[in-house]
Amino acid sequence: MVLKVIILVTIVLFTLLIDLPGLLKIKGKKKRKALIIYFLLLLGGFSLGLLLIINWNPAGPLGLIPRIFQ
Amino acid sequence: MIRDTRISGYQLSLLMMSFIFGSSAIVAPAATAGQDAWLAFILGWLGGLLLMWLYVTIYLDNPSRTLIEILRICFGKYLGSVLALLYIAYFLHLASFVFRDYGEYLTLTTYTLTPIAFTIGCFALLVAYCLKKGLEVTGRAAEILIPYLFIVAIIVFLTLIPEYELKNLTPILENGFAPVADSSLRVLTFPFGETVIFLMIFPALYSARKVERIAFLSVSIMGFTLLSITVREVLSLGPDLLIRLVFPPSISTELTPKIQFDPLIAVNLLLGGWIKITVCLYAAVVGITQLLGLDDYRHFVLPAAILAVGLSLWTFNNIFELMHISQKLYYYYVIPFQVIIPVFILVITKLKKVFKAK
Amino acid sequence: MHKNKKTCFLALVVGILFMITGCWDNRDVTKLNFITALGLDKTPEGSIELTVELPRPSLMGKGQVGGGGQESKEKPITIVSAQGETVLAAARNLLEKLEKPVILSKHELLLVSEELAKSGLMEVLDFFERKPESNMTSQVLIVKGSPIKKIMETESEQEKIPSIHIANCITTNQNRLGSSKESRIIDLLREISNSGQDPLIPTIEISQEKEELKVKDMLISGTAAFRGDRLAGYLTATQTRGWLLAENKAKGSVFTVANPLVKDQKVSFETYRTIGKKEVELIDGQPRLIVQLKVSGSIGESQGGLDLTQPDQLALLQAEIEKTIKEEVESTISTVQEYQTDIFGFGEIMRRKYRSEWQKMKDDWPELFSKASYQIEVETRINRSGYIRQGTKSE
Repeated sequence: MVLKVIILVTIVLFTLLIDLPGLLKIKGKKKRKALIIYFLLLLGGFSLGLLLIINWNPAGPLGLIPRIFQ
Repeated sequence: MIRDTRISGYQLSLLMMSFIFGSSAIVAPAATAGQDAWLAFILGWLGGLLLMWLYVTIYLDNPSRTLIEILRICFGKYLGSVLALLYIAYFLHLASFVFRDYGEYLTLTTYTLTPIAFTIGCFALLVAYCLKKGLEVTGRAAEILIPYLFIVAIIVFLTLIPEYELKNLTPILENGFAPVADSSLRVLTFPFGETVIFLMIFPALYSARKVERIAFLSVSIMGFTLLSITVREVLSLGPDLLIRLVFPPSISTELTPKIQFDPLIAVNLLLGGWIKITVCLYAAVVGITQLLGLDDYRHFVLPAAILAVGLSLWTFNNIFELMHISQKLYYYYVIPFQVIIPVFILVITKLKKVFKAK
Repeated sequence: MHKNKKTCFLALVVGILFMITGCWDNRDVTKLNFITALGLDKTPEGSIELTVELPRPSLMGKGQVGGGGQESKEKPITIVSAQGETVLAAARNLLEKLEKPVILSKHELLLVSEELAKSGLMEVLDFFERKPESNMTSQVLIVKGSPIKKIMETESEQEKIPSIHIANCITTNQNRLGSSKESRIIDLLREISNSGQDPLIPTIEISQEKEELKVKDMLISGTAAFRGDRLAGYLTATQTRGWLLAENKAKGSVFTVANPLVKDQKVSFETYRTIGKKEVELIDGQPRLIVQLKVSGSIGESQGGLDLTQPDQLALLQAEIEKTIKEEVESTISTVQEYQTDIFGFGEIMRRKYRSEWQKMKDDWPELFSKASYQIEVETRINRSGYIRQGTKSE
């Protein structure tokens, strides 16, 4: 479990390391927008990973979307 | 930066073909129709051509605009943005589907002890790297790699000839037309309807006028290849067995004596799936970039890939859920994206033109 | 900034290098046991006994065949067996007795005991269908009468691995004699799931009880007819040939008939091409089975002289051969009608031809099939008589 979290955090850190320099170079108002959306996406992936690790899956909300039509 | 992306017509057709090939080659969406799978497939294929006509017409009415821009023009700023967001979510979800299909197949056949997260993760790394270098890179790599897809399909088709039994194709329409219609609807939404995603890619083409020819040619060629694969499975396995299998090629390729073609199918899946996921992720990140009015989509490739991988692992608890959703529910979910909204777009653009002329 | 990026990239590459040094599932061949044949039996208590044949690679090179050096007394194979509630459980219990894990994907032969066949094959076949590493083209064989272990422990004088000898025997017997029939796991699965056709599986039995059994002491001919996945009864070698003829699978065979001209003398007719056709007709709601055969071949041997240049003699011989073949096929059909197993797949033909009637008849088909009348048409062509036109007459 701890190992899994460490792997996840490492992946996220690597992503930041690769992308941040480019993101910070953006000029003006666009910079804030880009950073916000970037962190939102990353947070999404990160939280999904965490949910996976703690094994919490109440049929998954995105699996739920098609399930509504059932 | 999006406007700078340029791919040639040949590359676009390769992308389209392998996108359609993608995971449908192993899942055999028409299999539920049993011996009539070929018929169901042909119907789905014809429907797919019709959908392609719809998408191409939309694009030609709004030249060099991506789906996101078209949506905003047609539905206004707010509704358009909401729909665009839904489309982006759909593209990411589609990528996660393909990731999972790919992972399940490899876990089932080759890497039985490797955690699925690792297989998918390695694949995602490759996809993200390709995309971060730009779609052109993927296009050029496709030029080298995708021809193998056809070679493998032909080799497997030919070597299985001794196994074919023509009687497996009869009786035609044993249980009436309903299962065939159901199956063909499945084929229509997966893989043909998914080509709606190419509305995001058409603007990257050098010469817009070629789009029509390229699109129809690709859908026709790939439809024919997939038809040969469907027929291969029906002829070699028989309808009773075919309906029960998770991944039909995993058994049909075992039938050639002394040679194991299984790895070749995995390679095919890898090539097709790679392009499919790349295209999905590209569409998603370009969509995000355009929605926010940013310039470079490449910044968002890595987090989007991580999100797609997380989704693919998290959405389904096991393979039964994956099969249940992709076979029973998937088409209800995607028909709005693939048919209803595009039809609305077409009607609205045509109406606008008429009013403008007046 | 640029430098930073490069460092990151380098770190990433090194990191990946550590991760992908080899396959996760890597299994070295030297650390594995390959199984060449599997035997499945049912113990009186109802659990499944799995017997496997493991070749010993270290002994494969030397020994009996060729060489000329001193003969190795050690067998090139080992037989191990274990019990379990299911096949997989038995396979896991097997590991207790082996030093290395086993790999299934190379087995060429699957032996199934009579008891297991009687209680239903799907009890064990599910495992082979489900497992990615099983070999779907492996041949299936029913062991008649004797315990599986005894058959598997036999040695072959021609092959290092007896199971290969047995598997080759089946193929030869089907193609040259018409006395056996190849049946692969995949064929079996197809036939079991099909309501209009029942499977037919070759059998093996010990023909001569001996202290040290060899493969040559065994009879690898005849077949077992199944109803669904259950054993219904056995067919003899000739009856099997009747099936092969009708099924269009007889490649070559030899029919020995009485010489129509000379008493107590025989003529052997060697076939090299047969075309079999099956048909079903519904007459007043009753199925009628029709088998049409076109057999062509040449005279392979004739005792007591025969002048085939004379049309009347040729016709006589032809009629005699036709009669023999007809009787053979008749015997097959009447036997399987007794067993109520449709190994010919007449039901399948019904399904295609009379679609609506089949829906009604489907459930009672074994019953209807067993009562159906049949009609066999044989057409023989004697094309050649070898190098001679007529045999030497002792005068």
